[in-house]
Amino acid sequence: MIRRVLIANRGEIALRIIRTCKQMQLETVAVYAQDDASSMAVRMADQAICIGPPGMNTYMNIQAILTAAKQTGADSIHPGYGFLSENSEFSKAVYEADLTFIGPSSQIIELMGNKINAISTMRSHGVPTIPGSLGKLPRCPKQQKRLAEDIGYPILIKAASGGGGRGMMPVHQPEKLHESIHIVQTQAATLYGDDHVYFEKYLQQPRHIEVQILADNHGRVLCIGDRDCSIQRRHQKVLEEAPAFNIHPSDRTALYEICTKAVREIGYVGLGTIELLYEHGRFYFIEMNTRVQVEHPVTEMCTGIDLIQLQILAHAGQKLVIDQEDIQNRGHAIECRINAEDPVSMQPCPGIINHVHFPGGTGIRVDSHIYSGFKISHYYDSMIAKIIAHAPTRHQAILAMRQALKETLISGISTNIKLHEKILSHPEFIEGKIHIHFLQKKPSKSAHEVEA
Amino acid sequence: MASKHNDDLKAVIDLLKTHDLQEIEYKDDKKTIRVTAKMALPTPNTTQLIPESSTHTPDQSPTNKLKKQPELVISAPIVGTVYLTPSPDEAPFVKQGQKIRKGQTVCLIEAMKTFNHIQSEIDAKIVDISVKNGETVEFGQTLFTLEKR
Repeated sequence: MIRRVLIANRGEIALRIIRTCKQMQLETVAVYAQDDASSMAVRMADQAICIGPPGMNTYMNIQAILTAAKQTGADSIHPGYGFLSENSEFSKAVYEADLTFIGPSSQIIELMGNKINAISTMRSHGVPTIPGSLGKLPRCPKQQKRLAEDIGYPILIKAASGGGGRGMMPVHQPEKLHESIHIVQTQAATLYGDDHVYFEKYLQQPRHIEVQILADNHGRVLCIGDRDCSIQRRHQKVLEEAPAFNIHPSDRTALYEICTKAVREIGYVGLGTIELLYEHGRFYFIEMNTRVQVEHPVTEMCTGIDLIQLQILAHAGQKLVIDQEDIQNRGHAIECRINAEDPVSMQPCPGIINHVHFPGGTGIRVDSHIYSGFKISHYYDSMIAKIIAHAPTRHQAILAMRQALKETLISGISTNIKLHEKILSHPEFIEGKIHIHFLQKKPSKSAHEVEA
Repeated sequence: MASKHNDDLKAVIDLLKTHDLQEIEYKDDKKTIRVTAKMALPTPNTTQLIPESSTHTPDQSPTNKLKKQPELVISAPIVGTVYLTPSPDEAPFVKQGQKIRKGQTVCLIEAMKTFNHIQSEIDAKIVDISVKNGETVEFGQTLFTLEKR
């Protein structure tokens, strides 16, 4: 039974979780760092408790969070995304403190947190993966060279413990192989304290497609739609869409069947995302996220399902009452991540928001924690809002989003709204010719306005 | 010569004080003396810790307010349950008005079954105890107010 949920997070996702809890008539507890004392999550939660000084470390402090849970009588902890959401030790500690972790078990998080294990596990359950070195790389340079040739250039060198787009490098020619391995190893050792790397076939212009899954602990697994998150910069998602368009219905059905089977077989419980690359009609598993995703609202807009609600119910031990056939996609949704950043340098731009006005109208949703006078701290992520537009077709959703961005006023800081406007009026984006390197060739000056 | 110079200076300063002026400039054919009230007023023989009572002619400038001795407090370094006694049957670690030494334990904060000794960083007197035994304290919450000694 879940009655009182502690939210071990901040910003828009903390507020997002509180909103659903309120609708479910669950009590909420916010934990916060000193500089978040006037945050919207702290204001909206039934109880709020300060657990540390300003900075990320406060939200990573397992002991302080568990103490706060005990002091406030919370019976469950929702980790949101980022911070401790995919930390197996945290999941374990929550379980050992006799609380419900609204996320998977520590074993599953550990399994999926290590990329090599995740890929080999998924492959063994029939999920297609990218051709590459099975497991960790041999130390012998000759063997490394042969392995790269077997896969075929270009290849990608990736850190075993990497993620979020860090610790990887493409190699186009054999001469650069050893030098690049060394660079990634050094990076990996510094970033993750683990210098193991592996090879993968480097797909040229794949799309990033992901499947939203949800499983209860009674053996029911659902695929709640899919998303296209190809618009990325430095491997960070910028704009996401649902559903993943231009995919043959039979390919989608086959993909869902494969995902459902694998998720059931590994004994997964809760909300999760299977991320894949898609090129020339083929899917390749890249990783699984064992938490709610930033971009979950596009799926909610298209399916009418509150994913956080179902996630909480699944971890409360309830049986899911929805069948796969009940899940229907309606229309198309786009999400723009609005970041506080300098439009030229693209560096985070902390500061005080003098004034903010968000858009409205049919199909528009804004998930944000900011308000006029809100101070954006340099300690945390620069994302300040997610604007979501839902319409019957992709083209209409693009038009709705362009209008929504025009209505958005944020003063006092710089944002990436202009970048979104460029993307949304780029002819190739409008035609759906997108891939994960789309933003590398700048959404050009040649971008012209489409007919409204 | 030097003494004449000092006499002039003293006269200028006295003039500034008596008339409560911000700035005064005195010129004769050999020299110019300018005295500004802002930083020049406090006499050099006051002690470093200036209690407000000892200052002469306290003006209303904000700089003067800032000179007030800052409030000394011991605040909670972690979230948890505060205990003012070493064990339920024992006397409290400290009482109001008690003099304490640097490094002396003033209370315990329990977090995840670990008891953390909270100690004073200075020699001081306990002016106020802001928490009750067994209460939940947040990070940064004031536990004790101190007076330096």
